[in-house]
Amino acid sequence: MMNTLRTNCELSAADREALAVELLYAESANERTVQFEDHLAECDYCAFAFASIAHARLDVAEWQSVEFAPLSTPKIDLPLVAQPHGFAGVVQRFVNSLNGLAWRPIAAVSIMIAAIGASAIFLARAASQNELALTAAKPADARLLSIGIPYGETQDIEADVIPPSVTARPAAPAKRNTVAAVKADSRVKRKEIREPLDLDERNDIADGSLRLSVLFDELDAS
Amino acid sequence: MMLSDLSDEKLAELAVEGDADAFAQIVRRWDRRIFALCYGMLGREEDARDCTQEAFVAAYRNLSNFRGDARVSSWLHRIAINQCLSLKRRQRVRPEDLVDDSDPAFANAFKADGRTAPSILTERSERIRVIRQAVGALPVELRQVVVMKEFEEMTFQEISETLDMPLSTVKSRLYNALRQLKMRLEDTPVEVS
Repeated sequence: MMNTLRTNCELSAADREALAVELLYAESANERTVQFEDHLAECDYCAFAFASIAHARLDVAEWQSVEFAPLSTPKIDLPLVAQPHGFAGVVQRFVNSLNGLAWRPIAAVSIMIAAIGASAIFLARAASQNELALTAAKPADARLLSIGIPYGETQDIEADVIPPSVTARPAAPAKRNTVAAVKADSRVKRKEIREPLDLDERNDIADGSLRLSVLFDELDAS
Repeated sequence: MMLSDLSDEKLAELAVEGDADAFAQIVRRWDRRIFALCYGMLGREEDARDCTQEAFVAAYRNLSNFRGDARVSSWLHRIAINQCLSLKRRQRVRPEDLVDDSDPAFANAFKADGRTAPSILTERSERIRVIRQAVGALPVELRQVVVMKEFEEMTFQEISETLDMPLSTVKSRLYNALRQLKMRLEDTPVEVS
């Protein structure tokens, strides 16, 4: 038996094992394996160990070549229902696709875009909630563009009142807190309206509209 | 690009997304090796065929569990080894009982060809039976390394990557497997009736 041999071999067990199988399978041949081959001629212990595993390898190789090698490879039948079809299949594939790595950067970018978009919408809404948009309903033939007045503030309103024959379009950019229209006709009459609107309560929205209407009435009358 | 040009990992990615052809390509690429692994681990043709079939079906059904950063070879080998162990548990067969002379592979391998003397055939068949028995008695972790090396003809590096273990451990296990095998074979003399 191998372990009854006495040896003064300086190789560690790990080195002996690694070098023996490397030499046996002629893999990763290098200077060390060449040296080990020379070493086998001098060291009975290593020579015996190498011969033992070489015999065992030949036996296994014989079994492989005699019994396994002639066998045909089995034909694999895969189940047809393994992958669901239709909507369930789409959902399954979507869920499966999340297992890959590619979704992570896409998800990160999507979340960033969604966050930026949500922030922009929130800020815009916050700004708009501080303003009261008033659109003149009367006189019907006058075109008055919307204005924005922050809640809780009293504003003077300037308005250009346009005769019925004139089509107005927005001034660009309209002056803040100013009812603006663009002269499309030289016959536009300019009227300056100065009326304080106290919009510190939400109910004043309707009140403000009424008061504007009254102003227009007055303008018409003038 | 043809499916055959794609890497195993890319094919697995397509298969996960529902491409059955991609998985079929993986099967074509690995069926012989997985069959060899199962045969070496179990020692019976019929069991090896069943196990190979079950391993690929299990892989197909569990595609959603395949991690994108894993190697397909490691994944398939792990499934196949588990199938082999599961089959053995179901059969409740001791390693020594793996040898079955009614196995068609065993019978076909030793059919008289009219040129070889019957006594030689008998001796050879008996020796193969003993070898098969000895391999079957090895601990699983040693047996799978021997089988991957001799039956699948994998390199040390491939075995290391497939089993996700250091190269030095692969060599050490192979050495110890062959050494144990040699000792078992010495302890079991071939008897020719």
